[in-house]
Amino acid sequence: MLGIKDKVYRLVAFLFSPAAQRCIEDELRFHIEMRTQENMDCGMAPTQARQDAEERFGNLESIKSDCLKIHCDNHVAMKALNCLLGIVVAFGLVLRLTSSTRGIGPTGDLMAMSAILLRLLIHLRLKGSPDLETRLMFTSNANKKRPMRISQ
Amino acid sequence: MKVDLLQGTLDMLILKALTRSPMHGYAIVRWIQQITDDVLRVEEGSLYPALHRLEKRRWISASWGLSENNRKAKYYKLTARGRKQLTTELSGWQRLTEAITKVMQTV
Repeated sequence: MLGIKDKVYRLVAFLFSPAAQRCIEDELRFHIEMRTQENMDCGMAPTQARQDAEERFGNLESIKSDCLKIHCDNHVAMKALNCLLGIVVAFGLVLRLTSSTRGIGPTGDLMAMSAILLRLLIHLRLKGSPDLETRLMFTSNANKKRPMRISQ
Repeated sequence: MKVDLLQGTLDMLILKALTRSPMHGYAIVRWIQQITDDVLRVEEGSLYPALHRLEKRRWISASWGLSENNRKAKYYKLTARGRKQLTTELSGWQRLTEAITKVMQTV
């Protein structure tokens, strides 16, 4: 089950980078299909082979979301933010130019300035932020014959 | 039993795998498994966020190509930056394993 944050990432990726979302899906699907094929080559029935491949892969939806988050952090979220702030600036300027006689021109100035300042602040904040925190888990079994699993 | 392992270990294994030739994710998983005689097994799905993160850091680059069975696959390639990073990580890893070995060899 995807959380709200994951759904927001999906929506942002869908709106601003549908190609990236498709690429991620294609890549993950390729992996599962390769594992399924290998399982079938080893003698498994197609249904069982697919099931095993999906189990080995883990939670597909969650992994897809993780990849999208990385991609969104990269540039899609910034693209969305730039677009939104651009609209606010443009709206503010239009308000300023068209409404000066009605006395709400300063509101337009304020909107445009706030959007520009917010964008500048985000830029400065992002410059100092570290990469996504990563954590690796190492799972070993007391039984030496069982493989150790590395996950993230 | 689950134990925290040093951050970056999976990254180091991926970078090492890609020193040989460009590979898709599935081939990386298979390579790690084969080279370690099945002792290490990457949890398959978890490889992809790692690959995308490494691509974001520009340690690897990606392009689409055809796989050995003529399917469209995303191939990853080590960049000059990634090669440099691998050297750094390898030296850190060697120092760490030497230090742990020293501790474990004390009587």
